[in-house]
Amino acid sequence: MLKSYLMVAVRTLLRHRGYSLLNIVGLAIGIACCLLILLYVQYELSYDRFHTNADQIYRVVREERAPGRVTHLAITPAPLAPALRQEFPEVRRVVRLKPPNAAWMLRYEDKSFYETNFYLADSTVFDVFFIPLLKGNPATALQRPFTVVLTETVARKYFGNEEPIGKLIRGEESMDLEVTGVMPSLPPNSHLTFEILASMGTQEQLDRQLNQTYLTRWRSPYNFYTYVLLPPGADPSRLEQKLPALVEKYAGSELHAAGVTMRFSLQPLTAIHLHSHLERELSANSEVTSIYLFSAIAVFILLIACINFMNLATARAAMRAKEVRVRKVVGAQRRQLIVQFLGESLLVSCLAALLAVGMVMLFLPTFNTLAGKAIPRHLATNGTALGGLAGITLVVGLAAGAYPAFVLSAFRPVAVLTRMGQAGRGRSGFRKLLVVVQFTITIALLICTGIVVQQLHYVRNKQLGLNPDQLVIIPMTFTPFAERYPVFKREALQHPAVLGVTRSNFAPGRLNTLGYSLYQSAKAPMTESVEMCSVGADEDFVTTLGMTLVAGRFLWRTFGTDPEAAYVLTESAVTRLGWPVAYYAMQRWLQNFAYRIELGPGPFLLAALLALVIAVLTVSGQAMKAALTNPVEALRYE
Amino acid sequence: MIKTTNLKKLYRTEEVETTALNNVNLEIQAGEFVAIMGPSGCGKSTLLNLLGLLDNPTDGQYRFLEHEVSHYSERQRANLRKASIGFVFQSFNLIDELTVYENVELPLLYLGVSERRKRVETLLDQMQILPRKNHFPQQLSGGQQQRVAVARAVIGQPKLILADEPTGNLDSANSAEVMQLLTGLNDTGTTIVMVTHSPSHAEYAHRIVHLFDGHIVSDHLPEAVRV
Repeated sequence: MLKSYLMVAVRTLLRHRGYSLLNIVGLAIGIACCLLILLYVQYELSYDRFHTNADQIYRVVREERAPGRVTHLAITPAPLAPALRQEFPEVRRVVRLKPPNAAWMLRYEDKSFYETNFYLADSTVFDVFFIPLLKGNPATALQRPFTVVLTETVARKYFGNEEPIGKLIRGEESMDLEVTGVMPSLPPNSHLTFEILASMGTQEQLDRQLNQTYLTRWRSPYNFYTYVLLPPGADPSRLEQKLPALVEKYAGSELHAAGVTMRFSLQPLTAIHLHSHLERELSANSEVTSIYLFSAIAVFILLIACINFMNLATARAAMRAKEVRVRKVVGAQRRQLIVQFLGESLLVSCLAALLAVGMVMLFLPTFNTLAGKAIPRHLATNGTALGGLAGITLVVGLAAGAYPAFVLSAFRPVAVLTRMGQAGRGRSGFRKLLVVVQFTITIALLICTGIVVQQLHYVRNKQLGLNPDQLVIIPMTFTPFAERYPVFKREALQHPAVLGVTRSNFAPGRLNTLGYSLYQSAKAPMTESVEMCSVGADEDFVTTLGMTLVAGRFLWRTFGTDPEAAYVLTESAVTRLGWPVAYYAMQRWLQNFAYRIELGPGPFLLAALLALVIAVLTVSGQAMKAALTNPVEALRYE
Repeated sequence: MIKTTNLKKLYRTEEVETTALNNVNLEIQAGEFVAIMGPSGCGKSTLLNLLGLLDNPTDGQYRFLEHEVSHYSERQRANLRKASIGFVFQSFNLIDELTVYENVELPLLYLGVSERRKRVETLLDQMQILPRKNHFPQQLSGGQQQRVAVARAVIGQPKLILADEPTGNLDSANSAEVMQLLTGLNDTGTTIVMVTHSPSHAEYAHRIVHLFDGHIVSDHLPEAVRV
């Protein structure tokens, strides 16, 4: 029986090739979109879950209140971690991570590289996070000052095939760092991105040598990220409740003197990527709403594909009517016919699923580029994706096949003897509804796509007010360059290929960690400060970066107080300070700084037009077909 | 085998109610060959549908093979039908996607018969269409298609064959051939009820029932027998 069903299904598909192709490709596109979104959602949800104790790891985050402002920060003071360790035995492990303020230059023999993923870490880092060392002892690797653990990739970059353990890498401040371990690279679905871990003891030694207090002060400008490992099943809120007392005990006087209060809370490690939008995040996080949005889009696309399938199948019902009635006459039960037609739609959805897998394989790299993700391509080992695909295939096959199956199997055998072709009457209402739903979703998605395309185009082509295309940025914190910059600048300008040289403490567009409090006027109260990022720059900054000034002049080397204390503000800074912006022209130009497009009627009209074109084409196609049919054919059919 | 008492069938649409059959009392014994005649719209096909358990009567009784079937559900009718009744239609009604062999095999599949190949091939051989068993219906002539249809009707060895104008789409040579087939089947004991417009084909039957406006107006022996 199954063989007979399969035979009929395959022959029906082959006989109506155009129809089958339309159906299968349509479903395949729907399933492929769904699968891509599934992979994306799965990837987004997988962030930081590779740690074996992921559910027990929490990041300590801070709410800081100073007069007139509240900030929510991902960074914590350095002394918090030792205090937690001291006060709360239930905290199994505490680890601090500190990313660099600027790229560090590391050197081995004749090789030197700027390293941006160079973190300082407590020796407990391997107890908290699941990073199995390939070489070295995790318990001791970062215990001594001036020790580093490298990823395999970084180790190979510096040492090639040589044994890295025990080698010395020359770092900033002429310190030699001993390689004590090699770790695997962190997976891309991690909010942590370090490639080199140096022991926190290194910072202690540096502080001691340079007479700094970064590690002991609660109000320090440096970024320490604190993570705790709690026992299995521990309630983080119980620990949170004890934190205010700890702050009071350890930092009370320092904070009171500054008029600042700090409140700490615990954030689950696995919630960081989708739920955390604090200041000074380690990497750009995603919005959980985008997960919901994408999931909804996936469902809608699948719905369109299913409706398409159902409409095509029921519209063709008359062609199958004879078969259904004949089968009933020779003894088929309705149940058997339902099974047969569901089987056929499952076959179609399976074929579509296979095609969809091919499409996903083909488009995943492009999708990864577009979404900025590194979703792995090997579906075969991705149980969730395979399960999801099987589920989608089954649901689509059954859902899309159910309606045609029930409609077709309900044909009464008696009609075969008397009146042919009364199929579908009375059901057209439901089909019309399906078409309306389908068109509505399609138009909505077209509008969304139009807006997304416009926004992407805008982001790509937005005039930034500076020209980064021919710019080479050389990090030089702590390097010999820093002291001899004037010499370097003079020499570099001699070179015919160098048009300009400038320096600043932050490259525009890069993470800027220096906050400044500015006030509207000298008389403004302390509470009315406006927090802004600032960039210290020399007099050639504007010309070298190809920026233009709206009003005023840039810094001059030999003009009054310019070298010591002069500021150039961006227009948005002027707006934020609330200064009256005098000129209408400037007002208009300011609109450019809203970094988004205005929603015009364009995408809506385009979508409506597209839908209209599709409708007109379909209707006229049908009309042409009807008009060109030989009337004898119609009579013969009757 | 068949006994109808006051059999009545109404067709209702939103606007009109049509009486297709009215108080039809008909008895057919096992082994008979009955022809049903009458003008178009007199209820011939409706009667055949009711006799063939494709539809339920609006009123009246129908005893078929000692079962009172007038109130049977679709499922009960299907089960009784597939085991006891074979159909032959004017327009052959073969399934286009199935080969000759598969079309004939179909009733056996629904009957759940496992030994099918030999049985189907023997029958196709008897019908002289075995060489065409892998052809599709549209590759056959009308006469060949009707032979396949007859083969499909008898493969399940039904006690009753219902034929609705089986020669309606055939030329005289092919018609004669089909009538020979039906007569041959009747000779082996199969009951046959045939609707026909053709007086000459009705002559093959043992009895001719005339319908007019949903009533039986006459029930007599064929001319040849009477003379």
